[in-house]
Amino acid sequence: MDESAGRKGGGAGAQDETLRSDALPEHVTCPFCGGEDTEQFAVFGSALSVSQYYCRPCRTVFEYMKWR
Amino acid sequence: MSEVPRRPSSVEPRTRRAVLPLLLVLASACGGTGAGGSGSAASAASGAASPPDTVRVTDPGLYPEGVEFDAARGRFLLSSLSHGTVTAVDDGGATTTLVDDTAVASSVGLQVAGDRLLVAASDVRAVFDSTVGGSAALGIYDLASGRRLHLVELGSLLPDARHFANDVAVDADGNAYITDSLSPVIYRVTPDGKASIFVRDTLLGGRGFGMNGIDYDPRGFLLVAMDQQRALYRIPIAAPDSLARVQLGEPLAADGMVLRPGGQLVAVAATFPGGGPREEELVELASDDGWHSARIAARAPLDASVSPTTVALRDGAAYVIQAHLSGMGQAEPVQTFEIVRVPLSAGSATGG
Repeated sequence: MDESAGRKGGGAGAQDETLRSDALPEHVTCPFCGGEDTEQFAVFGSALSVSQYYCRPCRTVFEYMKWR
Repeated sequence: MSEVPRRPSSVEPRTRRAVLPLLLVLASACGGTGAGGSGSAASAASGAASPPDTVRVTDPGLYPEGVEFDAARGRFLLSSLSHGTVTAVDDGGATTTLVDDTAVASSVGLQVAGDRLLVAASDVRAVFDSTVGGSAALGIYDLASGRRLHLVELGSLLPDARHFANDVAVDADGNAYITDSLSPVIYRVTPDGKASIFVRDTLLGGRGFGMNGIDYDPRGFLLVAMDQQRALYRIPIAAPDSLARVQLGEPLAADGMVLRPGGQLVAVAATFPGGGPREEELVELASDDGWHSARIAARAPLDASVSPTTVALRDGAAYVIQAHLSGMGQAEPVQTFEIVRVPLSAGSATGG
């Protein structure tokens, strides 16, 4: 086991800045209005396999399946 | 745009919800299900025998993806995606750090096995950061003291691949089976800590997040949840290459799950009623043919906004952990997490 792998404060646990995922698109299509004026809201949602985006026009948060 | 396009397959709308109410929900960090925590704590403090409806755990930034119940000591155990620890929690919400292994970045799935605690150990950054290759390991600890017995490296069995050890199950001989959500392999670790690849199959992977929860049926097979396929697989211990998809009446993306002694599978799962938007539910699956097929025998809605991730059984009752995953990495960490008893609908099989 790599003893240096991760550990507290090394990444996900750090709270000094809002996390963004480089593995996700910057914008996705809002399922409600069809617009693209969206942004990542949270790297996780109801489960590890989903992220949350925010639609500016709708002012709505929606979930997005990673890697689809 | 003259017409709103149909919902893309990549998007999982749940409910139309303004951001402010969602933030308020997260900030309140209480989830609102079940009875009030104070009442439960008072009940526990007064020595009442009845199990709590809700156990509130105040531990900022814990993000517990896994929960187990240590029946011998009457305590819940929580993993931590952000701290890598295992925390013991009594019915009043008082916490004790049981495992604090500096080599573990994220603890995920938990499994009590006799006098041992097995922990799927990984690094949650791999789930959202493609520059992080991740890791997969199995931590084996003394259940009473939290002392490390083994920390078994698994990712090196499949080099040049990305890894996220997610969940662990144990068979009748004490062998542990660990799912990897980022590689299509299940690892096996013997009781003395020897690791191997139990099965590798493209059916168990795909682009992105693959396997999730795993459990062992004493009739000699594993049940494994596949996230993106929204499916459940049956994998015989004696012939893992003959794995097969369990025929379900509806798509089901299970997360954490546990088998009752009577053979029913209780799972936190995303469901898609009527082919519609994703919903989070606690479901109880039953099978009459040794898990070649199964049906949902009972179900209960869960609050998706608080990230219900897995379930533990306590005297037959199902307790769901609310992990509040959307709070990870936000400026203010979530302060309080909840373990909530979730009654399944009347008439459900109770085999436990």
